Amino acid sequence: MSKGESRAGHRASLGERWGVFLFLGATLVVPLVAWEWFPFSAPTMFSERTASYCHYRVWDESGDRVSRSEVGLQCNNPHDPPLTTFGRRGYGRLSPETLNHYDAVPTVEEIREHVQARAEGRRLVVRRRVIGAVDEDRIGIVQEDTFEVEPR
Amino acid sequence: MRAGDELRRESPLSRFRGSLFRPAEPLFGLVSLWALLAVAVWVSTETHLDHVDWEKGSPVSVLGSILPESVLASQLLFDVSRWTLWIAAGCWALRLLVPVSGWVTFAAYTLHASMFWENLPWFRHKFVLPALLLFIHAMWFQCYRREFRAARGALLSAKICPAWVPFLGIYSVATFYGLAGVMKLWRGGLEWGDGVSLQLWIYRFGDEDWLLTRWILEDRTVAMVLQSGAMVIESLSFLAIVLPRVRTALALSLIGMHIGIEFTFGIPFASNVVLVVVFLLPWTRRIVERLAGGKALSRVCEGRPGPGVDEAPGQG
Repeated sequence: MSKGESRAGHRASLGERWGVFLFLGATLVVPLVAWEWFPFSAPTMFSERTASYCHYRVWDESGDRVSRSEVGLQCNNPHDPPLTTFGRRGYGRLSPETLNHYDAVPTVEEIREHVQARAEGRRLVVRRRVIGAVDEDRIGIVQEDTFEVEPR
Repeated sequence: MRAGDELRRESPLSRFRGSLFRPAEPLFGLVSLWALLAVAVWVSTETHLDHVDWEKGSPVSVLGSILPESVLASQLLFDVSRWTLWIAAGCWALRLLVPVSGWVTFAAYTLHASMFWENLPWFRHKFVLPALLLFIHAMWFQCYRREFRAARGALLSAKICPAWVPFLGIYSVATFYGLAGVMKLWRGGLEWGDGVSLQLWIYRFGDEDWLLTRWILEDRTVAMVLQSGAMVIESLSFLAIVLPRVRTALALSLIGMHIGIEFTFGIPFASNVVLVVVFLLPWTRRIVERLAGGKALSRVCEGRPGPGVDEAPGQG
């Protein structure tokens, strides 16, 4: 009995053999090259090592909370790093622009300019907390800034 | 020359290649197919095109690299692909219109999940494994379509499930998790598991009311052990392909990891847990065979304790 022949008489065709070995190769190699190309995937979830992030809170003149996404300070994606293979950038759809990225600590002036451009004439108060390692065991607030953003 | 002598002279690779195409009874293959179809239908209830109005980014799927954006953003096609998936999966589960229903299920699932991915500002990795596993099973029904027809009435005793079906199932699950570990090492280096990242993620969107999350936030060493442990378990998943003895430990560790992620981050991966239980955990096969008397039946059909089931690659 040859290698491809079963006891029941089934003989593995060339297509079956090619199908099996192509599957073995493609599901290993394509993800390593392309990272994400559904249904091929090297799950990149949580693959970035991060040391800090900024937490923002925004209020208007009357003290009411303003949504972070209104002023471009929202966290778009807390766990999937963007694609960078084959000239691709990001994801299937692009999230609205934000200053809120892991390991990015913009200056107060940069935040002020960014928020001012989206404040629609409102006077806003922004509080930014930088969260990172505070000692050998814990993380917490390593820097805090609260500042006003004047209308343009 | 006796067949046994011939087999002993073959190299391990030749023996592996030969055993890949050796068929066994289809009981577990059919049970795992039903579980897979249930998972595919289940995850398809979680899809949407909510972000279709956002600016298009990059193609993130094979179909997204071929089809125009207008087609991939079509709500009508999205709904049709979901309904097609459900109907074709039902037909396949009942072995109606096979192998066509198998390929239609795979195609509808892949199109539906690709459209979902193409219109998301992130990824949803729980959709990957069902696509790969559906392909394997569709190929099985394609290659053994005549044998399936011939075995009507005596399906469970017919040797119509080649060893590559369970093997590629194990391979897909193990490779998926193995690559997740490789990506962490690749992008974050060995320092990826330093514990700070895990603490930050939990601080950001974890459930602080849970005891484990509080413990992780209070103690970097605990965070480091858990984070490094996840990377090590994922990276070692490749071993499940070639070392049946470690498969149980790896499968249980991956299930534990998913349960931990769900409790700490609130990210559900229950569908992947089902696939790990069915395709990677050896106990499931034994339980199914014991419940149905399948193993005993297969040995009776073999006439002797042979390699038909027990020694085929990936089935240990």
